Amino acid sequence: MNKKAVSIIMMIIEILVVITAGVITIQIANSYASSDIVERSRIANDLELMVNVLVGIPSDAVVEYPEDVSGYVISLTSDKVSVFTKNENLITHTTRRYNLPEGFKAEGFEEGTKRVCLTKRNKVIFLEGCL
Amino acid sequence: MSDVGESEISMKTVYWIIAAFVIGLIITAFAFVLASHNARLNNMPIELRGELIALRFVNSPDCFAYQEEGRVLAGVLDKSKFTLEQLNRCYKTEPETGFRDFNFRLKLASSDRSINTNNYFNVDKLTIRQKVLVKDGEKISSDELLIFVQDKVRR
Repeated sequence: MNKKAVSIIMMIIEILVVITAGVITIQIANSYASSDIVERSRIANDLELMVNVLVGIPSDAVVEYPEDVSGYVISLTSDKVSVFTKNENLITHTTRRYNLPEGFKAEGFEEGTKRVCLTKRNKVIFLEGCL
Repeated sequence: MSDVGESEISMKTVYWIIAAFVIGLIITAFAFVLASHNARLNNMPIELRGELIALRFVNSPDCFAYQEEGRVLAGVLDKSKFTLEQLNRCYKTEPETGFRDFNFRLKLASSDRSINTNNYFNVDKLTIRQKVLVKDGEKISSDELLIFVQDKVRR
């Protein structure tokens, strides 16, 4: 191979490496800069604390989440609450865990619902759309 | 190919090995900075989380709250319930990974005995003090529940 050909190949590789590094950096920055990650973390944190508060209330209760969550899918199970967007990979779901007392259950799944409520009935906490 | 040409190629190879390492390092550092910024934005005081989780100890009949004829007396502890078994029914973390969660040691100020949740390792971050009434048989006395809070122990 002559020197000129090698030099051109190296230059193409250099350009590709720089473009790849730039694209990766911009993608990471974009994903963190979007308010989506912060927003869904906040929703998951809030719902986790709301579940803990409901467990600490001796009677039945209903709490409305005071914000529009129609852009998200929210899943509530007996050990965690997950917030994600439709068709999103399981690995990128924002999840918060909690520990319910023995005999307690939590359940619910809301997709695109504007207002969600957590309702405690006896020993079950439901996630449902508010009436 | 001439010696000069070969030497230039090997120099470039070394340069790109170093450059790839540095670029990788910069991207990783950048990701860490953004992740920590995100964590700061969502930071929640440990006191708030600890207090909200600990609400159940004095208010829930599934923990230590006194209950008579279906009526729960929030803030009144049933001394007969103040046992490790009841605490495990009330708040139990995952045996393997629960050291990353909140764990508690509970103690009544009037007594030396304390009970711990299953992943409590005496690494307290804060102590919550709650005025309570304690029902021991027919007797009711005023007391203070000390809740020692442990959060995220490292292995």
